Amino acid sequence: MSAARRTRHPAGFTLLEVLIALSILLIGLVGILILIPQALDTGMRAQSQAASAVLLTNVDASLSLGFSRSDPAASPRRVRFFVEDALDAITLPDSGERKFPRDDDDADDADEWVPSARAGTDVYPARIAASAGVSEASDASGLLSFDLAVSPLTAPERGLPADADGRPRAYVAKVRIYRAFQQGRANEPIATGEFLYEYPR
Amino acid sequence: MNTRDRTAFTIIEMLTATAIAVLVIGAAALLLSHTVRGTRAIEESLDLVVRGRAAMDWIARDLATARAGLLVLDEPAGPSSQSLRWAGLRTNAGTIAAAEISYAYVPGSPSRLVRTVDGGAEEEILSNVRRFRVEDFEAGTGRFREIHAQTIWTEPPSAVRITLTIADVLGRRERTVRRVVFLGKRRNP
Repeated sequence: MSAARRTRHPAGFTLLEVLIALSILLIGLVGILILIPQALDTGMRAQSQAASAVLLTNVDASLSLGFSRSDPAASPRRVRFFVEDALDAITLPDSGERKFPRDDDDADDADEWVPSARAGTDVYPARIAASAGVSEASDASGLLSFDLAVSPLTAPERGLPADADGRPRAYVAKVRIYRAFQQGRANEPIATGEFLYEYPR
Repeated sequence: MNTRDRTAFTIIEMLTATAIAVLVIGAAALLLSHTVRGTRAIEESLDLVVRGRAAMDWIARDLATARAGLLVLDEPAGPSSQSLRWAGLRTNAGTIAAAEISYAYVPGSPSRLVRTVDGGAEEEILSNVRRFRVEDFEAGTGRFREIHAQTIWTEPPSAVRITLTIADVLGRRERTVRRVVFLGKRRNP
């Protein structure tokens, strides 16, 4: 028995031993390789989140400015706002919810969020990225975009009645910031904000 | 003796094993180097954004108290740098008092953004500042416009837009943070 072992051991490793060793090595290497891009993505996400806080503040300030400058007698009511140099407007609904940017395909679906900056082709992400100082323009993963949903706040139980003419007095704007990806990846929401505004009277 | 010879590796085996080990370790080291560089770049970039955001918070908080007489004093390093002074409010030991607040771009190495209250000691808000610029909102056009030295506002505009470009310590990386500050009265229903 011991003589047989002595003869066998010097002959080297068996194929099975080599395969098992290679498998373990492979699993370890693949594990490391998977972790590295994840770690980098986590870092990029942290960077985007820091920048999204700036962007969220800018959207809020822009909406505050837009609401303060709105025409009380206008019908329908519109609020102009901008991010960077892109000036735009949203029509305020008397009921329900209005979204920006508006997706014509989902025009009848008032409950669904409209993802902005589809596949990175929209002009907004690049401008927003510049405004938020996120990253170089070529770095698609650093781009931010946002969408906005505005709805009236007239709930009597919350002490917020409508104006004398029946139109809402206050509005809630929900803002979502996304990391805008290219190459068909879905945009990833990274920050949200909810702001309250009063329409001028 | 015979047994010992058979248990040893040959020179070919050793060379092959060494070559494979060098390749694997080299690839791993390269990967690690790229990862470390990428992580460092992200950290530096994040640090710049966070520093810029913190400075913006200071300025925005002070600007929110601005009353008449917001003034662009100087452009010490050309139109990309400005210094501001305005009549605002300061808090001190729980009391609020009128104060003259200024933010000055100080050129040099490193260039700095400093805050002063009532002409007191300079407080460094940010270093390695490449650009500090303020635009005001023009009600007529509905857009922000560039302002230049010696601009005086009889009353604060409804909003200003501040642009800060910051560099890292070695000056290799720059980030621009832009912040809109609404100065009008916010309505709270």
